[in-house]
Amino acid sequence: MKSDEYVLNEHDLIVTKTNLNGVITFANNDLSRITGYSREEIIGQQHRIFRHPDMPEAVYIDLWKTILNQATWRGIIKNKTKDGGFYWVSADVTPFYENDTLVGHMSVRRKASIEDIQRAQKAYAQMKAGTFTGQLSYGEIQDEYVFTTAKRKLNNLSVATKLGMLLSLNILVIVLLEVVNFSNLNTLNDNHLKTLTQMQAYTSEVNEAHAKQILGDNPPATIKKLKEEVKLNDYFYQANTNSNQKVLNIQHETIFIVFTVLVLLIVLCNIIIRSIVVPLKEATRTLINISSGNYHVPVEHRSKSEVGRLIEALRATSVRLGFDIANEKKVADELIRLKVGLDNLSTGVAIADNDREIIYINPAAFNMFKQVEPDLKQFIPAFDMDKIIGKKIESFHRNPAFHQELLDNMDRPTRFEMRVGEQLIVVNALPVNNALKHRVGLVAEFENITEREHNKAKLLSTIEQNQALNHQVNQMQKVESLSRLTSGIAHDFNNILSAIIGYNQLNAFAADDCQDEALKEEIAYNTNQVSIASERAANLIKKMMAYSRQSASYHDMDVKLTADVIEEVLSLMRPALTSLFQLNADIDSELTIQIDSTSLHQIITNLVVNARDAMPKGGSVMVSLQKVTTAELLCDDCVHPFEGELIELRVSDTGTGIDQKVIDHIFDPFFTTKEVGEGTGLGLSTVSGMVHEARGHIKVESKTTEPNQGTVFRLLFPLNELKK
Amino acid sequence: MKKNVKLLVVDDNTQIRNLIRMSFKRQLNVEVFEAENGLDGFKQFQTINPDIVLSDVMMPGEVDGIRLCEQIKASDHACRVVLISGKGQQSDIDLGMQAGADYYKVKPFSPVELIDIVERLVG
Repeated sequence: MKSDEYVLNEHDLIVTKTNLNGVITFANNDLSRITGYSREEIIGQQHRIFRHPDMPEAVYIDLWKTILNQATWRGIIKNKTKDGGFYWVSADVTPFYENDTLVGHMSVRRKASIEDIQRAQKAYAQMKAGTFTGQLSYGEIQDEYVFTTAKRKLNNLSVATKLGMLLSLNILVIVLLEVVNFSNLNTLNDNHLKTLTQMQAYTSEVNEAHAKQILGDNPPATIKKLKEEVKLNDYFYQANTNSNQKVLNIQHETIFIVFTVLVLLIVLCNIIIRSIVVPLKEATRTLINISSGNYHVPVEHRSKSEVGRLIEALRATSVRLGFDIANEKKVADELIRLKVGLDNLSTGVAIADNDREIIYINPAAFNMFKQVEPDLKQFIPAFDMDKIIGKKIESFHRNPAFHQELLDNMDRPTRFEMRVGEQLIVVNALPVNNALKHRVGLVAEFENITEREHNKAKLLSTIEQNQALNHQVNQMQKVESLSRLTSGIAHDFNNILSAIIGYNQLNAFAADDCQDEALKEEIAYNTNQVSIASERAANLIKKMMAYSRQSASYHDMDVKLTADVIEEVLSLMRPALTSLFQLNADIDSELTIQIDSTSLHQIITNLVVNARDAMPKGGSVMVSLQKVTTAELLCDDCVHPFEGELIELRVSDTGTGIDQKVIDHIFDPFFTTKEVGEGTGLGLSTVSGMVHEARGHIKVESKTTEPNQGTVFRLLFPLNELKK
Repeated sequence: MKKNVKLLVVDDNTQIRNLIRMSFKRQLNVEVFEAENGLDGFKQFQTINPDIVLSDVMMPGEVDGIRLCEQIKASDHACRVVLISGKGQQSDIDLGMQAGADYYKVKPFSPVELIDIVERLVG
């Protein structure tokens, strides 16, 4: 657990979107970076996963109350990170509308000022301790100071009320001004008093002068009386003056008070005007910020007045715009990345809108078609690669109407090949659907596979050649190992057979001395049987040796004519075939195969017997000897190629044919399709051995699919020109 | 067979040696000697001085039929040598003939054939 604080920098901006249930549906990168949670961990969660234990419940109650009123909540929040650290933010939670319907809230969090943090820290601690005396409203911490309370109350008043107040204050001012005017009348009065005083002073002087005059003539009593009169006069004057002074004093005080009240009223008017003007300025500032692209500048003013609400609305607009624009920018960035990616692809890509108008083609596709432009122009004279953008796809086809219908009905990826001139281009076209499964366009991928196909063909032929070579090598190895086996077995067999044949003969000699004729005859019969069996065994060994080409016995050439030998064999064979079989021959008696007659005898016998066995219900066997000219063929046994003018000894039947799998093995020694005991499996391998001994090759053709086409054994020998 | 003949059989296979000995049982003027390898065969050849040697080609030991044939022919050109072998390739036959053999018999053989060969060579 770490208790480190992450201090946001000025540019950090955490943006989240929640649905009406408070589930986070969007979170930006900054949130992941700052909290340490991956976006996958955040999406689907509630905001409370970031809640720090220092935060009082009251703050969240206020938050919910505010946003349920569809108002903006703005406050200072301490959140925690995944690894136990924390960070302070100034949070704005605004309602988020879609088509006039509230769909959720958007929270924008940015760096909080140090003063705000300190103030919130103190207030939240007090809330936790229960000593908080202020108020929390719409996220704002309000202290219980008279002035701020009054200011807030004033701010919350409607503009109409404020204007009303201004009007009444103005009336008051006018009234007071009237009062001041009245005071000015008093000043006139004052002047009058002054005149009066001067008159009194003058009267007094006159009186005194008059008295002095009188004093000279008049008895003191009169003087005294006069003096008293004067005194009385003075007194009156004095009294008059005093009262006048008093009146003046009162008048001055009144004027002072009236002025003071006037000044106060003017100040009050000013405050009210400010409370109207400042928010308006704020609104203007917000609008200017929006218009200059600063969507996340905090708004200072808040109140419940009309202007306050206007600012709230502007702020919600600003946050929403900021989010949308950031989102659009992100999408635009992604599009640019995609475009750059597509531009640099080696595969050709073209995009069309739903009206089949080409809106994009990448350089690879452009170059691909530019290369075949002359070929395309032969079919579509109007084709111009440089003006491809904006053209309808179907305009490049010979039957536009048909193609348009085809494209409009394309609802799944379609792959086809296009041959343009020498080039072979593979096209993968696919419809592009939006989230509502509506088709919004078409994308096509082009790949020029000309070279690849060419290489593939080359590779395939190389592989085929290799396979043929491998087959040949395998065949040679097979022959070699079999040769070794054969010679090993043959040696031992010959020793054993020597003993059997020898001792059997000795027995026969011994029996000659026997006096009992019956016994002598029996022994003679028995030894003869052993002799026959031994001869057969010896012959088998010879065949094996012949196959492995180890025998010298076939080197002697026969002078018998090939045609004669064939005739001889066939005449011998005929009795072995029932009436179900036909045996035909087509022999060119001019031709001679350089082979000893015994071998030829054996070869034909073997092939005819096999043909008979392949046709249990009867059929016909054809033996022919012809001169042929053939293109290159591979021998079915030794896999050597051969061609040209050759002598062909052909044995064909009308049987069921041989399966290709079987053909691959028919020349293997001991391979047999006959029941155990019916065949040695050496027949065809011996045939092949003898044919190859005479420098010939074998081709087997068999059709299992067509009835009665049967099997054809073609034995091809070199043309013997010398003998001819 | 008109004159007396000394015949040496060299073969590691006892059965074959016995067969050859018994083949000549009725030829009263043929005396059969046996050796079971090339080395022993040459020693016996030197002491017995036979008219004809019938030798197997493939035998264990340093001296096989071919070597034995060469040695015999080098010391006594008059002595006839018949090589008997399971190896019947032309190259084998050529090898035997080059060593100086008078006859190369490819197995299997029969007593009648052997008697016939011996009669033709020394009869």
